[in-house]
Amino acid sequence: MTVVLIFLAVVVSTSMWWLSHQRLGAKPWLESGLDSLDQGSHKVSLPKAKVGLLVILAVVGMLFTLFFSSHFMRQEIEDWRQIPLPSMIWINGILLLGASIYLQYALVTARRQASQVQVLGGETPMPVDVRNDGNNNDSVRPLLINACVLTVAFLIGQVITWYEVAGNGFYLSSNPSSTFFYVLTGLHGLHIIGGLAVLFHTTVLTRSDTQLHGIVTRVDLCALYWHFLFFIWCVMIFVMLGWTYDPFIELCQRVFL
Amino acid sequence: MKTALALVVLVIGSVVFHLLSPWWWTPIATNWVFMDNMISLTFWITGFVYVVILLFVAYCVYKFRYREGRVAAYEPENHKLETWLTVVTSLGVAALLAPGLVVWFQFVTVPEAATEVEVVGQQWSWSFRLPGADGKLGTADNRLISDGNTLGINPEDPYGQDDIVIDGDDLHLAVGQPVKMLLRSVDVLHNFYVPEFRAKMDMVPGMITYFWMEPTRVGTYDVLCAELCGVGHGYMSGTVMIDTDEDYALWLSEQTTFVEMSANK
Amino acid sequence: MVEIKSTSHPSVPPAELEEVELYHATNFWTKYVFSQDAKIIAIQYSGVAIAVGLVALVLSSLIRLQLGFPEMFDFITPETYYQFVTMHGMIMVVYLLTALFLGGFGNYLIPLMIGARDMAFPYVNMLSFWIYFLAVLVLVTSFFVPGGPTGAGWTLYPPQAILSGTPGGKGLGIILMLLSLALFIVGFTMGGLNYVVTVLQMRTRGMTMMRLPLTVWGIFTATVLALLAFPALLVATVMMLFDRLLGTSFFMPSLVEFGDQLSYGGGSPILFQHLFWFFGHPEVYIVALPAFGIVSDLISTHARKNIFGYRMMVWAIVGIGALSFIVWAHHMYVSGMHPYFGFFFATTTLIIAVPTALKVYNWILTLWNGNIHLTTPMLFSLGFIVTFLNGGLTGLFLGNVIVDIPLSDTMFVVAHFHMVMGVAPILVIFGAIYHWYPKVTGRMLDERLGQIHFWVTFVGSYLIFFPMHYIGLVGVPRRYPELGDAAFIPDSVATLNSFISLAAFTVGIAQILFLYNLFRSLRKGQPSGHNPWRATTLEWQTAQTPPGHGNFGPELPLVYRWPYDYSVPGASEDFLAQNDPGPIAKGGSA
Repeated sequence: MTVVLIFLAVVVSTSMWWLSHQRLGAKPWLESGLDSLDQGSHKVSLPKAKVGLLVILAVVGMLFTLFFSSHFMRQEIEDWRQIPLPSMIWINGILLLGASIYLQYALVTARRQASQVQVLGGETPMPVDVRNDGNNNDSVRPLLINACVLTVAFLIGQVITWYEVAGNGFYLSSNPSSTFFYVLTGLHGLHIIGGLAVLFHTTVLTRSDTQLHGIVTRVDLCALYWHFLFFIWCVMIFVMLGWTYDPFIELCQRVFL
Repeated sequence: MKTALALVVLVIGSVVFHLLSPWWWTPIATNWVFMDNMISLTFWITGFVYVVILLFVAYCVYKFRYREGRVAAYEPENHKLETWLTVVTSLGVAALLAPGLVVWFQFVTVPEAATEVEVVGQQWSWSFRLPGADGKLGTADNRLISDGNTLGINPEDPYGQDDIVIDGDDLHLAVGQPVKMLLRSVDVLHNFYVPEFRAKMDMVPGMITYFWMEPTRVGTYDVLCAELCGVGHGYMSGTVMIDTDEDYALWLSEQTTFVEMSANK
Repeated sequence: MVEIKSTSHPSVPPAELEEVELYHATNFWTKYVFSQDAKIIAIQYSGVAIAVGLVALVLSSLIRLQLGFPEMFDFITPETYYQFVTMHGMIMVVYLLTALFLGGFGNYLIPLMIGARDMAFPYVNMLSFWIYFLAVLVLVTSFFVPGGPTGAGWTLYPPQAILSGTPGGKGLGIILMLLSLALFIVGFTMGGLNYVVTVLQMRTRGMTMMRLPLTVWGIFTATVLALLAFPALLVATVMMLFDRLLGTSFFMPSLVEFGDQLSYGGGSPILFQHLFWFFGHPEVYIVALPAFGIVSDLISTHARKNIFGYRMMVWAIVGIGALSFIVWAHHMYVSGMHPYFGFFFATTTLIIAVPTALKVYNWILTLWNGNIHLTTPMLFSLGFIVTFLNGGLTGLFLGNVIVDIPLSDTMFVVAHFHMVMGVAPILVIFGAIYHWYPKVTGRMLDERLGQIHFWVTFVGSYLIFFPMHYIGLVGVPRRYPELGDAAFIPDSVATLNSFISLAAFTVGIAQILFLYNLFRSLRKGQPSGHNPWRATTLEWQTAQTPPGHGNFGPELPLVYRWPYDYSVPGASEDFLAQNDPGPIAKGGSA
């Protein structure tokens, strides 16, 4: 459970940091009137969709951290036998990383596109039916499609690893290590599928002349989500390989005993 | 007025109920008098706080009730008062926690002189095992349970051969002898609970849990299960008897050992 | 982008700067059924929560029927008794209290109190209700499947929860319960997302965090807790479903069930308890924090006095929220976990008592020197103080690990958690409904009926649960269908049990008065006007009552002051609304 408390500590300290900027030490009964209007409601200076996604990521992170924590707790019982993981997982990791990279590139491109349009248009952003050649989303679309393809390839690769692990004789209820393998990778895959639905929708949107501003936000969110899920995937693989276990447990023992 | 009065009646009624209540803990039969003392101390401190605060509330409701022309005060904060209240509360809480933790330390530290007795719970009855002449309990595992070996004692462990098995019958303990109760379960969570003993602990399948105590009063006591274990939970009763040394020795001599039990099957 | 010039202060920038794309419903289905208006969603949540809560109330009467008059009713067997107990507990904690405070009050009050037109993600908000509704349906279905609902106790501890010795263990009962919980969690994450992001991002101009009413602070913090704690329950639920359906052994050790060696092995029942209570303890604060926030506003308004120590109240809410994540194993003192954990969790548990106590002091100090109107909301607030104080103080018994050892799993625990989490928050809910009903409907609830409802409910509940502590002190265990013939239990306990049951039936029946009042006042209640309680917070300053679509009319309010400017010296009225530019308040003592 220590691992959970560490994750929680990260979330809590971020919240406390933000709260500390809300002037919780203020005496609001002394500060009536208009002047305080500019001291501001101190909103987080991000679009609310992004704030929403950050909240979701905290929840998803919590979910996985709890599973990892359970994994650690189960590992301590002496009947634990680590199952070998097929080398396919590394290929899958690269596929997922590739998808993340394409999404980041798509985000950079979309942002550049949006600022160019703004520059051309003067003070107010140009409506997007003023085009030079084709859709303004044209340069973004192929990058998004690549990301989709790589992600789907990742999912297929994960399913292949399931078959390989089962082929080695490790099924869902064979032993705790294999159970965790299927459950963790399955849960991760479900989250990827959820994200894919949004990514497909976004990619389809680029075929029409949607406001670039909207596309930038959507790609921003997809990219963030993909990076986060890649990070989760890395931690997950390390946990399942037992790489994080020994140094972490040693650290705990040193700290607590 | 009526409301304030009702609050006062409630507070006084609660205190009177407490003082007159025939429903109090059963007379203790072990050394864990400290638990009772801690309960009493907590009653004193919390009771005092309860009465003072509620009488104050009743007073406020009476004194500051709405009347034509009354104006409430405007007092957003009183730093000094709040600090003082924080300090006093923290001291009160510490006064409860400190002795509590001292006694907890005693509870988890089993004395050297304690003998071991194993309690095995299952849906929905109690079995017991004593270490026998060699003073040690043999190992056991749920996977070894069979018709002839209902407690899953390891037949290959030499220490287990002379273990005394009491299957579904009463447990006896000797007065004045500290004992570490080792708790095991065959199927689901149970809890070996004797109200007069005060100490109790869950029994978890796959683990051995424990608590220790020193019986101080001869008598016959009911064993109840205190962790929901299925539909028979409320009917899973047993009996434990605290004997004098002579009676205990007599009872012990009449019990069968594991090896005798297996031979008879 | 909609830019609205403020006509009252031409020099002041407008209140509404964000993109406002308010969804406009066009037909009956999108207006009232699949509504994206938070106010409608709030009423939907409240209606379903109260309906299912009434089911749980009936179940509690059945429980008391058995405990008060054992062996009189053949249909109450140990199986059905445990099913009643389990469903009563789960419905009350999760499907009533959490849903009503967050989904009901949260949805209605948050946008109005912060000066927003609706929630941040209205479509997701709408979905969250329907998923909650589906979760309730799945749960109710378990009453009608062969074997009936689960009887594993609301805590659902394995291994018994999925074995044959427990009702529903080998049947559909436990599966439907777990599925329902998983759905609930998904739905609540979607709702919680809304409440948090809305408070963070959609406050109107001038509404700083430190000008938020404590109701919003309470619900906001509770939502943060919910978002971080419910995943633990989801993990436990998923793992238990796997153990039950797919033969895995997350929680199942090697065990012999009625002579049969099962194929499980190596799992840890204690792992479930850690996961469950990591959720379970924050859950009680998810219920308590909104109650704290709401009662602060009720007391303040009805005593015409600012809440005493607003800053401390905010810090206490945040502090209690944070601390609530490190006290969970005080539910596990007798679980057999490592004994040294007892030191840590007893300490953190007793530490959390301090900010909680400070809140109690501040409520009382708000009454001091106030101008107390003994309206029904105020009466319920007083009832809250009594019962919460009682329940909180008995928590000091149970939090202190050594004192918990003899008392755990006895009726003392049952009495404690009912008092602190059942009676106290429910009294706040009643008070809150009497308080905000005029805003939601434009009519007042009948005051006379309200007072009767209060006295019967408050005194009755006290008579149920106060004596119950002493039954626990005798040593009577919880979750027993009957007392049996154990020698240490005097016969008078049975008499006391009968008395408690009679009190319980009385309180149960009295709720009919409340329901009657609710429905009758819709047509016959006295018209309330916009602000019958003369309150300061923004929801009372709307142009229409009930508030129309978009809440505030064409212009969002500008906020000039904190929400507790009651009886400000020198002001012409005994309250100054938050959007009243009025005479600037003179500061109080520091």
